[in-house]
This record gives sequence, C-alpha cells and structure tokens, in this order.
Amino acid sequence: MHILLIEDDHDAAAYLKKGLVESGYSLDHSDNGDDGLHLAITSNYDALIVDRMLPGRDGLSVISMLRAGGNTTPVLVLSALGEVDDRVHGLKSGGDDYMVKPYAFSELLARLEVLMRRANPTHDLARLKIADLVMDLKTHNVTRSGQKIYLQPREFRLLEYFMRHQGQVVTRTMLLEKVWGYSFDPNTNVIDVHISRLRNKIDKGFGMPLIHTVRGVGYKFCEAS
Amino acid sequence: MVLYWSSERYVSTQVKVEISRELAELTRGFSEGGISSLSDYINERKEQAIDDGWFYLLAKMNGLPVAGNLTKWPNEADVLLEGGVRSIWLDDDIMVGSFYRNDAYLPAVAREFPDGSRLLLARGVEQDNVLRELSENLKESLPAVVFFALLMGLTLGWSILRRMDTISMAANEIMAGDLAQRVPISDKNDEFDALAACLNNMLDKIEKVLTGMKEVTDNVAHDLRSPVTRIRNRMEITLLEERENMDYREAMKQTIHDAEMMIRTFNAILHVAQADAGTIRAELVPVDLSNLVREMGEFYAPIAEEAGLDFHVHADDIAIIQGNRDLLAQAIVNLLDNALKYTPGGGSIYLRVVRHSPVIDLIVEDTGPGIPESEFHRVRQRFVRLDTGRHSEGNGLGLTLVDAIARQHDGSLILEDNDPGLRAMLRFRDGVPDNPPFAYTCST
Repeated sequence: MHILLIEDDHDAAAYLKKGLVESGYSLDHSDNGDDGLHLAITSNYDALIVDRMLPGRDGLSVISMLRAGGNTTPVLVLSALGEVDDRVHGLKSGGDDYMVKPYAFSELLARLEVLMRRANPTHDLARLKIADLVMDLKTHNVTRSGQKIYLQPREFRLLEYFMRHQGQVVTRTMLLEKVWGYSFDPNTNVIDVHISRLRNKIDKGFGMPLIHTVRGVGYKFCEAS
Repeated sequence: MVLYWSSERYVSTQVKVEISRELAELTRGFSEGGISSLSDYINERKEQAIDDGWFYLLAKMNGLPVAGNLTKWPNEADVLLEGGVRSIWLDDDIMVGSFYRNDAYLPAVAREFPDGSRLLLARGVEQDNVLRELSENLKESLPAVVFFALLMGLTLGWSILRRMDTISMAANEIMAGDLAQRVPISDKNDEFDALAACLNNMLDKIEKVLTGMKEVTDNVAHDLRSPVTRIRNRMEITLLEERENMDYREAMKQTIHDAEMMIRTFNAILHVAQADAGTIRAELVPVDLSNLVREMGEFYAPIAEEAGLDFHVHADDIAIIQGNRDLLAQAIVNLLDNALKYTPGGGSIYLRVVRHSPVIDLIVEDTGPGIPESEFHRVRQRFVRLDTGRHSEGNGLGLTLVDAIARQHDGSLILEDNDPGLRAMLRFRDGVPDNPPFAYTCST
C-alpha cells in the first residue's frame, strides 16, 4: 500500500513515516502543497494524508484541485483546526475523513485502513455475510447458524458497520461518528457496553467469536484466527 | 423674493375685495347723480386718497382727465374695461404727488359708463410699503444674522467636538491599559449617548475576552503542570537503572495515558475560553432537544443498566432551539456522566425535556449525594472538583464546559437540590432567539 504524506512539520512526518512503514505501508513525503499536488497527480497512491496548514498551497486547496482533476484517491485530512465548521469545510473540499491534532496514531491507522478499503463495493449489497452470520439489509433479518437474532435498530446499525468493515480495526471514535452520528468526546465506556450487548446477541453461544477487542485501539470484526 | 411673491398674492385677494367695493360705491354715486356727482366725489377724495393709497381717474372718452389724482389715462388700463381686478403698470409720471418714484404694478379696475366716460381705480398696495421696509431692514440686519449663524454653527460644532473628545479620551485610556474604563454617558439620551452605550458594550466584551484569555493561560499552566511533571519524573526514574522491557513498556503506556489526559484538558480549556469569548463559529441550526434527548437516552441506557441504575427518559413534546447538535450532545453527555459517576447502584437517573413557554428545560436528575447548595456557583468554575475520592478520573471541567455550552446557546445552567441528589437543568429560550436591530438598542 503506497501512501503520500503532505506535511510540513518534519518531526511529525518522521514519526508518521516510522509508524506507517512499520505497519506495512510504503510512504512518500512532501513538505509543501505545490510539490505535494504535483506528486499526487503524477503518481498513483492508495491514499493521501494531507495536513491542512501547508506553505505555498494549503491542504484543502490541494484536495480540491485534485478532485477537480477527477482524482478520486481517498484523502485523510489532518488539522490543528478542530472546530465544527472546520470539519465540515474540510470534508466539503473533498476530504474523505478528518482528524484533529493531536491524534492517536492507532486512530490514524484505523481510519486510513477504512479509507483505503472504501473502493469495496459492499454499498450495493443487499446481504452481508461473514462465517455463518447473515444480515439481510432489506428485511432486517439477522441469522447465525440459521437461528434468527432479534436486534434493536441501533444494534442493527452497529452490526452493519462491523460487517462493512470486516477485518479492519475500528476505533470507538469511529463508531461514535458513523453509527451514532456524534463527534463529541465520549465516556468510552458507554460504547463498550453497547458492544458487549451486541456480543451477547451474536457471539454468545455460537462457537466462533466475531467481535474482537483490540487493546488500546478499538475493535475488529472478523473470524477468529 | 418668495416672501414678496406670497405676500403679494395675499394682498391681491384682500385688495380685490376693497377695489370692488370702492368701484361699486362709485358706480352707485354715478347712477344717483351722474358724472358730475362722481367727479365731485373724486375731487373731494383725491388729496386724502393719495395718503390712503387710492388712485382715481375719471376721464372722457378721448382720454382727457376730468377728475382724479392720475394725470393721464394709461393705455394699459384699457384692458381693464373688459372687467375684473387686475394688476397693471402705472407710470410714475402719472401718479403725481404719490411717493412712487418708479413705475408701480398695482391692482386696478376700470369701468366705462354709458356716456363714454371711463373710471379707473387703482390701489397702491400699502403692504408694498411694508415689504419695502422689511427688505430694507433685512439688508441692514443681514450682517447680524450671518454673524449669529456663524456663532451658532461654531458653538454646535464645538459641543459635538467636545462630546467626541470625551469618547476618544476614554478610548485612549483603555488602550493604555485601563480595561475597566468606560465611555461616560450623559443624561441627554442623544445619539452620542447611544454611541457611548454601544462602545461600552463592546468594551465589556473585550474585557471579558481578555480576562478569559488570561484565565486560560493561568489554568493551562496550572493544570498541565501535574501530568507534565509526572511524565518527566517517571521517565527520569525509569532511566535511573536498567529495567526489564516490561517496565519500560509500562512506563510508556502510563505516559501515553497522561498525554491523553493533557490533550483532553487542553481541548476543554480552549473550548470553554472560546465559548466565553463567543468565538466558536459553529453553525446554528434548528435542533429538536426532545429528539436529541431520546437518542442520548438510548445511548446511555445500557450503561445505566450495567451500573444497576433506574434510567428514565421523558421527552415527548417537540422542543426546537437554534443550536449545534454536537455541542448540545456534549453537554448532555457531561451531565449524564456525572450522574452515572456519582449515583450509587440502586439509585435513579432522570433525563427529560420539559417545554413550558417561554422556556425549554433539559433536565438531568440523579438520586446521588448531590452538591451542597453553597457549592452551586463554585462547581462551574474551572478545575473545581468536589469528590473526596481523588482517584476518579476527570479534570473538573465537565460542568464548566456545560455552562459554557449553555451560554453559547443563549441559555443557562441551573443547579438545584433534587432532594436527594442533584438536578442539573439547561434552560433555553423557547423559539428562535431574536436578532435585535443595530444601533439605538445597545442596552447596558
């Protein structure tokens, strides 16, 4: 997986590079908007990480130029500007996700992964499946090993999110954002309790657990290895 | 000029009546005694007439004067024979003995009699004299008038300048550092006072922002010192000796934890300061508080259950305010977190929205130990924590942030004794807050 990082803070870039390379990615780095834009257009990347504040052309401008040219590479925006309007602005300019500094590296990693798998065509599927768990999005029927499972609306949406992000690490913040639609700083315990409820319904008594806790980061939905 | 013209019209109307009356009088005289009677009458009158401003002329058909104080029948008078009262020009030559030194434009009337004689009657407008005098007076008084006008202008200008001076003087003092100064307001209640009131409002705001900023830097210094010190000490001590990998990892994990706490504190402080300064540019949209509360209730239900608490949510009426959903959610979360933290198992938490115009209340009640009433004010302040157990997590900014968010939404945080427990209420105005028009409404 090939990533372009456009970040003018060299120390931050060095750490990011180290972390990403050790996680299995290869990384190119540019420290200003114009060079970064040029690189993004002329080379093929799986994802871009763009800091908003850049010398020369600023991050959002790079992204909108990119989009205007028809480039659909997923972009993760990093910013010190964290107010609500800034987030909206960042996403409107063409960014796919928006993270506010200081961020947890594990969070960045998780979101990056989700971004890059976005090309996955699960959007059009009416049925999601993993192991012996089947989810019918039209009828809202959920079965595992043929047994029908009754989920409340929110639990259904939570499971759907997990199913669509099978094998990826999802953080509590991501869950709060995508499943509940909030972006405040939660008492993360609350989410854990929701997860444990879901676990009780779809994992307990079914042999192989599908919901796995990733310590210090979040959760992963996959067949146990 | 205008004065003259308008007076002249007035004069004409009055004079017309007089002339017509006089003509009627003279005509009667003629019908009673013929031409000779008329000419006698005129001759009698002619001396006095000039002083009174009457001009008579009785003339033969060929124009030769018979009686009167005009020396000649003016050609201009012919048109009068058609009837009506009109002003005509009379040559001053024919107005012997009168004070007219120039031709006069006078209202006149004429009449032809059966034997061919004609009568001309003209009225020297007395008001004409008055106006002449007036214009003479004006000419004399003009310099005086101009002088007074100038004087008034100067005085007015000077008083305006003086008012403006007081304003700029106050501004200068403020800029020099005296934040508490305000622009003086007189009791005249005029535009300058309105301006001064607006300026003072602005100064209030600025003072608040500056004080808030100072508080932020003070608090940041204070509250971030502890974790920073912890980190430093931990690292230093760890390095004193060779340790197992496990120890190093543990030290690092704890440092991450401290860093995260610092970040959270930092964000909260910033947020509160920005809320105070009113600089958070969050877009305000209509938010249904009941809907939000129901969602929050659903979100917190499982954890309340885990904690062995009764959790009740009541939000039936639609209750819309202008606001930011995320900020409001954060406020509710903070209140609920507190309630969860401090209510022991077996207790209850109530979350409700009550709409009673003109306010909407968003209430979180718990049956925990509550807060003593004396502390109601203090808990909103930054970093105040009341719990005796020093081990619980949190940075003491929860309620401060809720307070700030409430104010951002033009509402307030009200704390009450729930007997037992705490009732925390966010009170908002029902409906869309009005935008007062600018100027003249800077209420202090």
